[in-house]
Amino acid sequence: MDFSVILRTVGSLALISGALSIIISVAEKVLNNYGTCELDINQGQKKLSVQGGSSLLSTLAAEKIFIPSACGGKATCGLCKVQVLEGAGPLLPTEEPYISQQEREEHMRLSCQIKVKGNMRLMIPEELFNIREYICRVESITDMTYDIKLLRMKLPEGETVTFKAGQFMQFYTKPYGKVKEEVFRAYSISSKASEHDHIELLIRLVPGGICTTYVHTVLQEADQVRLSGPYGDFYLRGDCEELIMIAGGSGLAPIRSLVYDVIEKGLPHKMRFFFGANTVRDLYYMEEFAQIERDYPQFKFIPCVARPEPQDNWTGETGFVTVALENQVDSGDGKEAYLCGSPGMLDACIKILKDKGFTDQTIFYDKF
Amino acid sequence: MPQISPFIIFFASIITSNMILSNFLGMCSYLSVSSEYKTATGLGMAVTLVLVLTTVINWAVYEYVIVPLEIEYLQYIIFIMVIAALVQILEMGMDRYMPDLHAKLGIFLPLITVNCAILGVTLFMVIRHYGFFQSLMFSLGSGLGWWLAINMLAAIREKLKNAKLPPGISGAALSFIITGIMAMAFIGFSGIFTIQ
Amino acid sequence: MKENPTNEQLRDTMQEGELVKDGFLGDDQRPVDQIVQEDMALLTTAGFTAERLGAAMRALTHKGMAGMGEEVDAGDYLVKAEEYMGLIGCPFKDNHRAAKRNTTATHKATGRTMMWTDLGIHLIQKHGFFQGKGSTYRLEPLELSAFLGLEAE
Repeated sequence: MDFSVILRTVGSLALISGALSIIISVAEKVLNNYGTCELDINQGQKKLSVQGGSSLLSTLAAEKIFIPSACGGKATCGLCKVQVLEGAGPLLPTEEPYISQQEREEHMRLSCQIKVKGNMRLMIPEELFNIREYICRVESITDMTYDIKLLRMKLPEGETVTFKAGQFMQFYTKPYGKVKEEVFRAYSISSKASEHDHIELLIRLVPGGICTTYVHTVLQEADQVRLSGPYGDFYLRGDCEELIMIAGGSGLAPIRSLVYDVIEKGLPHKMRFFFGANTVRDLYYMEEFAQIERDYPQFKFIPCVARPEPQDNWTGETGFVTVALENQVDSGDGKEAYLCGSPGMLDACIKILKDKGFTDQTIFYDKF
Repeated sequence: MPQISPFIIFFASIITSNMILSNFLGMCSYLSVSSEYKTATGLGMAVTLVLVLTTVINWAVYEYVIVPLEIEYLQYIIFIMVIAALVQILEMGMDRYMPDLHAKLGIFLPLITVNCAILGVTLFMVIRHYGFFQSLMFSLGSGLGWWLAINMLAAIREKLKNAKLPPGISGAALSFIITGIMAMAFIGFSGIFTIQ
Repeated sequence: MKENPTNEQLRDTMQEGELVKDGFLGDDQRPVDQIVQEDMALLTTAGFTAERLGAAMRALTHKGMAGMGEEVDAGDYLVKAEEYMGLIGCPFKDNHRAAKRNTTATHKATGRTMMWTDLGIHLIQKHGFFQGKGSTYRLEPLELSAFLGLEAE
């Protein structure tokens, strides 16, 4: 074979591929490098200089501003909406189903989908600045019922958490089994708001649930857990004389926190807590609430069991919590209602409350 | 350089020498992305854009690099490298400067690099010794013809979604039958202009 | 054959451990739109629509909800609807959030039992997606239409 041909072949191929590689690298440096971007938050209240190229959600999280999210940036939960007045670019197809026409006019965007490519002007609600991240250690995992565990976690030395009773934390699982990425889910805080160095969560096992399976089968005492929070609009307003509290299953968590909050602050409100369970096996914290009832006459605990067995010798209310609610609450005057439970229970109870005169302004519940 | 008007090449490449219906190039993405009309339009646009850019640049590479260096036997490798590099740069550029276009077509760009219609158009241009303007019109027409064909298939498939079909025929089998019938229909255009 | 990029994205979201622990695809290797296409073709040829199936399932679930976790007598069926707190997003990313509710329905006459979730109803009704073969929650379209006692059109 002619030597000059081989030389020409190899040489030209090398040159051309070399030239193309250089062109691609240069293009990448120029095009993919978004440089430093200025984020102007709340009309100049906060100004951040960040490295562009990542999603707004993760960029803000890196700056310790935690926007609520339940799906980790996959555009399935629609919770990470942020008002972006300038710099977000056109609405993406992945955002379209989640942003209503009204929200589009207000410049609401899905922060997990938009990339920081240049300077931006954002409006972030004040309360989100209170949200911080905590790397806690699991102090104890206690079985409360056959499918509910109590997780008690200690904050790192010197760190404290301040939350309003009723709010929730985001709990981050680690990859396990077939779950390859970190997942996070929201759980209401059940510990007292006065306890600033611990967080307690009540976690009920959901069949097929990624996070609840993690807590029930993988998590051990002394493991490290990442939490962020506190989040949520579910907290005491108290512009009334009596609080009607209704919960089922692990929905007891924020109610427990609320009850202790009222007592510890010495607030005058009367409280009636209707706790709905399907069977006697689903009841927990019975002794604790009975004790609170004894110590504080302003609080009444009304557990309702839907189907007690004869051998349970159940003497409390029977039937669904809606029955007790219907019979024992006469009107909505001077009352506020706080509910936490599954969607079906919430809908049934809210209907009864509204029939009794409660309004959207006096009924509070978390819908996540 | 053949003495055909670029405009005749343009129309011929859409109707009588359609990339899919006459030459059967670019079939795999054509069949897999034609189930929904919206995505078919997106892919058609992306293919047209990439076709025009790559063919024009490949023409320049052929005229000013390959022919002078007498390395025509390396043309396949070089064209493919250029196509791959170009699609990469195009994707980065679109993400930066045309984000809404990137949102519509961006996901298809990696799929297009290995679309044989792209290399096919470049090679046809080389074989037929087209000049610059002829190559431009040829690639634009081929892209639009490909887009037309995939849109037609997507529209027909959408209409057939609610039809009662013999079991097993929906999906790939049906797409092939429809494409075959469309190709036969397009044969009816042959003779209006001939470029191959 | 190449896979449609939208299919790849769907497949990613439907994997085990992404939205739900066991995923929506089981061991099915087919692209998502092919799964939908083949199931819908079976349905259409037999004279049903996914919309009708979904509506019938939802009606049964509604009757079961009155029982708040306890089995309810709903005419030809015994229905139990168990629910958990929270909402779950749809893998097709259409801003639908379903309650975490499991409905178990037993046909009294045949003794046949079928189980579905609220998200499952939405996937069938709006997307014609009956889940991949091998998935725990997959429902065969024609078995489902027979179970629900629907008449072909």
